[in-house]
Amino acid sequence: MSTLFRIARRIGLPAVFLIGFFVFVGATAPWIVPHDPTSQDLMASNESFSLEHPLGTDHLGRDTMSRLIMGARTTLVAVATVILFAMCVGGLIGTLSGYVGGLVDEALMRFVDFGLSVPSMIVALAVIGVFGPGYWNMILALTIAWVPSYARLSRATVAATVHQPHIESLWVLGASHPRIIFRHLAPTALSAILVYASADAGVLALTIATLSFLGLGVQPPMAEWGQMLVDALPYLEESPRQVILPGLALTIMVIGFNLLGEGLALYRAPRAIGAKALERRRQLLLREGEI
Amino acid sequence: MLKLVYKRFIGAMMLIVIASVFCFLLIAAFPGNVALVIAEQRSATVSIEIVHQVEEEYGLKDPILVRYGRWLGDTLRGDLGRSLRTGEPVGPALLRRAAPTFVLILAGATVALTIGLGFSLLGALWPGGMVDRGVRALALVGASMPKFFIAALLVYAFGVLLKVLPTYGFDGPSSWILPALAIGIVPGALISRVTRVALESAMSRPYVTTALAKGMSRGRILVRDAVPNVLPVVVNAFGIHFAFMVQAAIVIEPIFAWPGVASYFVEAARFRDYQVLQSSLLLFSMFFILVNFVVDLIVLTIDPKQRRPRSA
Amino acid sequence: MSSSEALLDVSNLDVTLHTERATVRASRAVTYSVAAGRTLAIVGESGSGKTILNLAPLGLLPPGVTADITGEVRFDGKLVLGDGVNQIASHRGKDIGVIFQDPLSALNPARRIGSQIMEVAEQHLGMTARAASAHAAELLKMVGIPDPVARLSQYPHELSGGMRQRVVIAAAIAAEPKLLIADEPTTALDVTVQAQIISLLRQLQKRIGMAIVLISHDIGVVAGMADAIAVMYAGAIVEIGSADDVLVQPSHPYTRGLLASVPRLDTPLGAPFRGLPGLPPDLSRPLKGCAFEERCSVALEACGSARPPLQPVAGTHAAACFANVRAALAATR
Ligand SMILES: Nc1ncnc2c1ncn2[C@@H]1O[C@H](COP(=O)(O)OP(=O)(O)O)[C@@H](O)[C@H]1O
Ligand SMILES: [Mg+2]
Repeated sequence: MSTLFRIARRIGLPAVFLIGFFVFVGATAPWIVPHDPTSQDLMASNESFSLEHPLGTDHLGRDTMSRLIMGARTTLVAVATVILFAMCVGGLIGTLSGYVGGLVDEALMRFVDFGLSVPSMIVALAVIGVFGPGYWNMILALTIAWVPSYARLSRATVAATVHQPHIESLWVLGASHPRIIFRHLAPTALSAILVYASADAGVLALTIATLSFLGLGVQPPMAEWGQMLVDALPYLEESPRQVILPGLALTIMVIGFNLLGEGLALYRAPRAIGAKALERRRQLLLREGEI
Repeated sequence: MLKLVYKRFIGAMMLIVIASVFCFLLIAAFPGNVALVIAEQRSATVSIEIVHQVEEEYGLKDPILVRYGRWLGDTLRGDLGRSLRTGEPVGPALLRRAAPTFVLILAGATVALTIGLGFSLLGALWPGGMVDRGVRALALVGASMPKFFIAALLVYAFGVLLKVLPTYGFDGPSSWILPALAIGIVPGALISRVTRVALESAMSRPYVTTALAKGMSRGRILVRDAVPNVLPVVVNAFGIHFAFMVQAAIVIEPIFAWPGVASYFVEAARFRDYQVLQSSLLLFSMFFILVNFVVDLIVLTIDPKQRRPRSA
Repeated sequence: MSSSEALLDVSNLDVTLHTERATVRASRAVTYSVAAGRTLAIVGESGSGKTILNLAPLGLLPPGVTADITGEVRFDGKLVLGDGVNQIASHRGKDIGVIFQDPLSALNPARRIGSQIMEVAEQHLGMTARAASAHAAELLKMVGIPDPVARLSQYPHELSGGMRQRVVIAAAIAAEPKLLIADEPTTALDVTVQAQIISLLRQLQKRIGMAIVLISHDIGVVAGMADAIAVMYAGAIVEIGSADDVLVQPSHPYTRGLLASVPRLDTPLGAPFRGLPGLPPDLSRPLKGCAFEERCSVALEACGSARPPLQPVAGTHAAACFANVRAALAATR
């Protein structure tokens, strides 16, 4: 059994499979779509399943399957971008805060506390309200909304490690501040942040879809699931699958992220032995006789 | 205990001050932006003169501290200005729209609490069994669904297929059912997941071994030993999700044509109505800070370690 | 040692623990018995299997651990474990009380002390809440807690460590069990409190007439109280006998090592500590010979390849050591 498979099994095969699937689809989307996801055909609107359009068409006659596939790409790219930005900014603020301590820490964390007490989508909407809708404004708004949690998290990790003997000894040895921060503190913070980020990606995907559902996130002609759903809502009665399919796709992706986050968080936790492995151990004991 | 309450109170006050600064800065930090948008809404062709005129009129050229003082004074007097889009006074409009949102949140909270506690206790009673696995799977799916999707499915099932419940409007208890479910299912699933994990970790603590050694049954241990220990977790989770329902209301209210604060806020964001945006954001922030404060107080009173100082 | 009047009779008990990471032979072929009203002390270094040996048959396993248990346990003349029977758990709290090492974690921090004692009386003695409350106050008085009625409504964190352990004891004896298993009852406590708890246990034993299995890693703690002593090493009993025999004529080098490491009043301050050098073997690895061989000063060639069986030294006193056998042979020659 290869190491990779063992790691995957410990995280949980459903999580790895689901996220792996979406990442694959998202990465190859432009090459695997059966049709141009933006090309309209008003003669063939709201069509049901067919060989030509395996998942039917929407109200403008666009191929649903192609739009679903492109939607995966849109969501994953946006999620990754926001997490990357928020991680950098928040990680920097948090590391600085935990490292410097004192008044700087106090002041920074007050703002972070406020940011955390207000739901992220409200912060994001307020920012979009100021700058106007649009893809990059959405990215900016979500980054601003997501920075506090990453700042809080990395501060907690750094504050917990900064007083550990091996870091304090670096001080004594005269290591420079940037060196201590980037070589010794940031890596510790990073692993905690990664675990958090994988669970958080689901929430972020939902928020992106919600903003787009409200018409304030991803803009047409880019294909996005929340937007697909809201476009199809007026035709709920005649072609409900156009509503259900993007909703289902998003739900499954978020389930994947939630499972992944859980699996990573519990990666090192002790677990009870599985029934099959238990049987193997017993057989081994019998065969070896006295150990 | 009193000292702790006092500390929390001071903390909440500070957050309110920060909230006011944030709400003010969000708009005020971009004066050119504000003037431009207002000017755009005034006339189809924006000239630099109109922008200057707007800046003059709204005092946008004054030093920032002066502007903050003026804004704070107005706000404290209850004058929240007029909507840039409709010209309607913002204060009364917010007040009028608060009631439907409050109904929505309370009804949603009832749904969330029922699902959250019911699911987690049911699962913890027979851990690893069929019921547990089923309930966990349901909670995972529920926690992963977008709320607008749940709302759409509810509308389709009860409005389109069964035609038994009204699918829009704020019009008596029967019109509350679908919105309450749409807003309550996700937090219910989330609370159930948090509670289930907390119960599981409580059930693996040494005091449970003690209770087993005393000859107590699992069901009894769950109720009498584990539940009191996870209560603070549940209250906290519930508090957070209660506050966060304002956020959920942002999608739910438009779908069900609910005349609440949240849809007012989305409209403001959509049309860049700064006056409404700023005021409703401040209102929301105060609500979150208040809920957090109350939750802290409740947790303080149910945690025995805080209730009485250690004697001896 | 098994006799007809034994309250607890354990024979050939094997416990194997399976976790996701490892499989551990926590106890092997363990045989002992405890007479009614008497005290058996089980001593051995931490990790030697004392806790698992006593708690696994009762179904009190650490979370996430699966145990395979073979062997037989008789309690009060009845077969309660082995031969397809597994009823020992039904005696928990009623005929068999257990007290634990850490009294703080053993008590529920979110519940009042009173209710944690009362529930035992309600469950096993069928008492009403009111009667159970009076009974709990009585018990608290019995275990030496002043102002018992007021204590009933307090929470564990309001008490000192020694007081907490007294509460745990009160709950364990609430149904007047015939057997009390005390797993390192004094280890987490201050030295001055340790002696108080041991003397409390002796007092309660006299009053209720229960047998006690007293588990400790410190042979000094149990010496004054035990009627019999079993010495455990790496999951097996290496020496067993009456307290006098084991303490006066220790017949296993491990027992001698344990005794030598007990600080005495007449040891000069600052004298070098004479603990046992080395570490016990990893129980998840196969063991060929005597588990103690690596740390033994009298090891023979045979010790590396075969496991010495428990052999009588004199009367009920037995030890598992090849060196004894050779010495005995030499004496007869
Ligand atoms: N929770 C656990 N998971 C895995 N192994 C355990 C656990 N608890 C005990 N063991 C193993 O069982 C053996 C006996 O442990 P224990 O009975 O606790 O020893 P003692 O009580 O003598 O200190 C040890 O070798 C230990 O490795
Ligand atoms: Mg132990």
